[in-house]
Amino acid sequence: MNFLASLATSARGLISRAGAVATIFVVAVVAVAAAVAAPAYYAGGKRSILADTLSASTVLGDGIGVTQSGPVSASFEPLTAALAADLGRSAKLFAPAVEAREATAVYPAATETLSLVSRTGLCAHLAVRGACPTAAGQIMATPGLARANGWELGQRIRLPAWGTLTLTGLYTPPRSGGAYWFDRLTTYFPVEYPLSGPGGKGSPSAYDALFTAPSTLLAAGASAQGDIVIDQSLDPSRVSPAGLGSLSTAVQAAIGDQTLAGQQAVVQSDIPTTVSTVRRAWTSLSVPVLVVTLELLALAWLLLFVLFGDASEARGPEVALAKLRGYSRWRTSAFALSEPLLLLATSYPVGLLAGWGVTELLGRSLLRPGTALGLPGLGWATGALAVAGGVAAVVVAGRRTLRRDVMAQWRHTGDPTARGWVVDTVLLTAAVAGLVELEASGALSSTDHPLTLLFPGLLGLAVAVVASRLLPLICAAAAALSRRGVVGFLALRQVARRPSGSRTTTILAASFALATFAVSAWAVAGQNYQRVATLRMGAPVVLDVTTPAGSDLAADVARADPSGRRATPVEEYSSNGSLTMAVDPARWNAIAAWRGARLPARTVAALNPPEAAPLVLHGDALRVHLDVSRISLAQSTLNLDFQLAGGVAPTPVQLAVPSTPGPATATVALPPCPCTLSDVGLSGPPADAGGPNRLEATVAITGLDVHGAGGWKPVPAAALAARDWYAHADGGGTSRVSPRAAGGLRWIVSVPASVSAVLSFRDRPFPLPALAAAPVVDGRTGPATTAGLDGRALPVDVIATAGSVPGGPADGVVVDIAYAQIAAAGDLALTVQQVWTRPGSGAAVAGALRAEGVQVQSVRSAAEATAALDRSGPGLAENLFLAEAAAAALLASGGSVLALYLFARRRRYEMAALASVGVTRRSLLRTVVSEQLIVLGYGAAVGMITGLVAVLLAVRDVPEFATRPAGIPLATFPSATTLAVALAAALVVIMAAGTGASLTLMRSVTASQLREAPQ
Amino acid sequence: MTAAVRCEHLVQVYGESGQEVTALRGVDLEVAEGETVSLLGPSGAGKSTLLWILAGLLRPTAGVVELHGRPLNTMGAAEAADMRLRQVGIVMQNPGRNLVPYETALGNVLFAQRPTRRRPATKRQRAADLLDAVGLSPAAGRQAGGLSGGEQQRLALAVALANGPRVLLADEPTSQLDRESATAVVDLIRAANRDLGTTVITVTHDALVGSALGRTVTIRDGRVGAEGRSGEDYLVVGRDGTIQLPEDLLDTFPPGTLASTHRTAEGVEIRPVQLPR
Repeated sequence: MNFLASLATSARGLISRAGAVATIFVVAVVAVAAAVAAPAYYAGGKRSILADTLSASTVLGDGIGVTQSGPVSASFEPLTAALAADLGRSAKLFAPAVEAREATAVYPAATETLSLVSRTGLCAHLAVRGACPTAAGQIMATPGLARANGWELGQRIRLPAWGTLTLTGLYTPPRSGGAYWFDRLTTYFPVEYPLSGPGGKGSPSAYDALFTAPSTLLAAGASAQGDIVIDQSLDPSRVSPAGLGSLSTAVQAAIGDQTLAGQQAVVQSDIPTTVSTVRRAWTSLSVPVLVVTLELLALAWLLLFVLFGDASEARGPEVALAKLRGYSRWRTSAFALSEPLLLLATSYPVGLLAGWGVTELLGRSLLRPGTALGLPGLGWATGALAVAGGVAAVVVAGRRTLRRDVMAQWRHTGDPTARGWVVDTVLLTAAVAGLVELEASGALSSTDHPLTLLFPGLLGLAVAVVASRLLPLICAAAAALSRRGVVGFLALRQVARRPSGSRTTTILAASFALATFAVSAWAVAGQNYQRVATLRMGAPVVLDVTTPAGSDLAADVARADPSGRRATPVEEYSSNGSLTMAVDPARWNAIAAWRGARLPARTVAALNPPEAAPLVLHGDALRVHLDVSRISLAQSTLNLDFQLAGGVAPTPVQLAVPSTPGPATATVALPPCPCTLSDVGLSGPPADAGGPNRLEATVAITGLDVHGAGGWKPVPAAALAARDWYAHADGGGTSRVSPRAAGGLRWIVSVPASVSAVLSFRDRPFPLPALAAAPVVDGRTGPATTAGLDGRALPVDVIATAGSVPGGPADGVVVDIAYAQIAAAGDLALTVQQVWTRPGSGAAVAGALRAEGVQVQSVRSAAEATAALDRSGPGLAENLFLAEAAAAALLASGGSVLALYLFARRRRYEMAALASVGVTRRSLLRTVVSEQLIVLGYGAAVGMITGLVAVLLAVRDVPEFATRPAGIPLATFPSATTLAVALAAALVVIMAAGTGASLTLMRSVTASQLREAPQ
Repeated sequence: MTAAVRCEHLVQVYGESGQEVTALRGVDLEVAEGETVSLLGPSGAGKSTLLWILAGLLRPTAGVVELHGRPLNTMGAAEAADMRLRQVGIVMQNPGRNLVPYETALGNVLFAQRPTRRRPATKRQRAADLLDAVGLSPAAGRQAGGLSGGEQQRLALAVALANGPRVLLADEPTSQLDRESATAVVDLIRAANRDLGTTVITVTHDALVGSALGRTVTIRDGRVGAEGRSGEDYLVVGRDGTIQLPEDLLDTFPPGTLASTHRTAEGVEIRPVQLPR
């Protein structure tokens, strides 16, 4: 009964102070919600990072492949058993294994060697016209292969070693990869997914595979050799953060499994690397989440302490009454604390719900779409911890009121100011100690240190404590000097004499410092994410493409975008330390995402200087007229490099050089032409231990004839103008070319026997002019060497450097695409092909490219890349920091307004008295408003200024990236507009709240207050 | 018979060293059980201080004070609280200080009884009786903060009487009340004394209260200067032989006057003396 009665009294008390109670309740709820949300957000963030990493990983990054060479009819069982044993419980994280048998079959009629493959579940993953093979002896092929060989559906095709097979279906190769195809697209569909350019005619890499039922391959017996393959991809829906450690260990065990190795099985997987990447990202999120949450919790606790302190003071008369009525100490304590404890008890479930709601909200807007969110057990515990902190605040705050005797309560004796100094000293000491510790730990002097996030809070607290103590002094001095009448005087005097105002100022200033820093850090990170994402990609939209065999990317793009303003081709070759980007300079300069000004026109022109037209030959044989003046090594050869259309690797043609001086003619067969003669090399025979070790020669090339349908025709003499040939040699040799008076060119060579002298036709500049990212050439222009598109060393002349080259901010070397292709002799097997477009043009350009036969593998946008960075560990931490700092600022503002309101409310008697002696209500209102605005404005202003100082000192050190990007200058200060809008909005809100509270207060000031005792 | 209240050379000094204020300078007072006493005197004379000492809210600096034979000087806080619960009812000067403003009138009377071990039904019955006695039954469900000043003071009296105290201490129980309400409150106090035998000590400036109670004790300058019984005022000789002349004699004996005393058959005669220059 007593308990219920006490509860009822508490409830009535809470209702009677609804406004103040609501604010305290909100603070408590926010504290619980913050404590709950942090672990929940972290758990969600981990899942989001995991899913993002898995989706962005390579096939082997989230899968495991086992390949065993030998009889293609071998059983999978030993492999699957060993793999299952290695993977253990992690096996359930994988999608069902796909088993494939891969062999080759010769089609003698066309001398073609074809891949013959069976693969589990194949029919569900291919569009088939006709019937998908389900029984032994059935096959299906691509329409292209069938057409080339004249096959019809139902035709019986004889493949030696496999018997006669029936063509039951024609399949369309998949338009894109997927977990099912694992890493086999280039193996099964080399026409659509060439690994290194079209394969040689007749080889399996020249034709898409024939698919058949497993029984076809099993029937072949042990004599048929090939591979049996097990492909297993992780099922992202089954992978959880908790199982990642054991997964990595299990996969490592499989990779190193000696049983499998003994069965000639090769296990491949990059899952351990993926797991490491995920863990690094988690770490970059975990520490900031902890730091940020602790900051908000500490602030909420401090705020609760102040609010409960004020609320406790407000209840002082009731507590004194209880003592007067003979309540024991325990009962008095229960009476005094029951209200706030009831409030806290209620705040726990509400805070849990709010925390869950906030996490959902944050998760939906910040985490990877579809990320599952929930309340982890840790969230329940941290929520309880927040409540426990609130209970401690209640007890500490209530202790003073409980210990005060009745007479002291009624006489208002005691010295709260002295106690305030103690608290402030503790806070200041803790803040300064924290700052010193941060400095000593190196957190402030090293970049990307997560503890940097503590800096603004600690600095804000230290400055806030000092500033709060200065406010009464400033106001006292101002009041002494005030000549502005009663309003200003009363407001200033009131602030000057009120001890509890300093705590309000402290909290407000500290939270605003934190919020200012958080908003700035968030804005800076946003700028940097966009900058880094765009510069790394190179353009707002990037299409990853594959050109069809025999097609030229630049030409395809030119046809897809005749305007030259929407798309630009980019062929990339990445080698250690540099990224060669072959581009159409004019298009590229217009479309690439430059951070500052675009390249000047003269630089663009210098990247693409005019050179001779390529020396294109049409025919089936070439006759070379030579005039050898001298040659030191017999059996020397001329090596002619021809570039064939369609990016096929250069085809060398060799002819012997007569060892005796005098005119001579050599004839060689040409590769399939039209073909471009790019280089002529002169090299000696294989080194002879006893012979001369240098090739010294003077050879004149006096004419070229090409044999075609009309017999031999001379190549125009202009083709042998010496100025159009560039003589060079490696390895300490010399190679010079000069005009020959009687026509043709003279070539003087002196090179070590082991190297060749080369004459390159000047259909491209020597060396290639290049634009380089400053870091890759140490900021110097001039001669340098990079990797050509064929992967070989390519001499370049760096004509300009850029701080951040789009697409390769730190390592990009940009050359002209046409010249680079010539320099690579058309060998583009190792390049990555991209088309960059303007924003909004991606879909249209992709469509136009597809119409040209270009395969568009993916369309990526800088906005998506920015979003991905925003979802990285540091990005998620930044967002949480912003959310929690905003919550802190709101809490502090609300708490401060409430604290001021409660304090002013205790002075209603005084105000009623002033009103009764003739001070107008308007003046009283202006006094209260002025008082609120002085305290709130001062606290907010101090906080903002401190926050800005913290921004200048430390925002550059806030972790923004798991790995800081090289070559991209990062922003270290937010845009003035963003900052000004945020700060102005905060000031307006807090000022409006203060004014509103003052109006509410004044409505309750009536003459009847004089009937009550002054509190 | 044990006195309800006994004070012997009671001294109370407030403040710290160097800024001390002596509120009581050696008060001797004895109040018999069932007696009604009003403490009179100018503001700052020490009346309220004496009342707070009797309520166990202040510990005297020196002297002896006993309530029903129990010394309050050495009483701990818990024992004093228990004493207030069981033996002392208190009505403070300001109505608002006596009540929990957001509780109902009934709830306030129950609030005072809450620490006792009575059965809930008993408590509720007693609360209802008390509210009836003070004329607040119709207002039982109204919040105390919303009652008028007179109602609040009557309710405060009901609250003070909730646990059947042997002593009722009231500090200016009729201040801020109109005459009608003040009369009602005084009647209630007298009724409590009459019906329950409660010893009543009030501090008042109100002549109505003074005349309504059996005995007046005038405190001036921290001492008991006079007493009045049955309409007759008497000087009280202090422990050191001092007496405080009534104010109406101060025109004859202005401050600084030299006086001579002579023993007579009836007592002592005091005359002002004019010494030759």
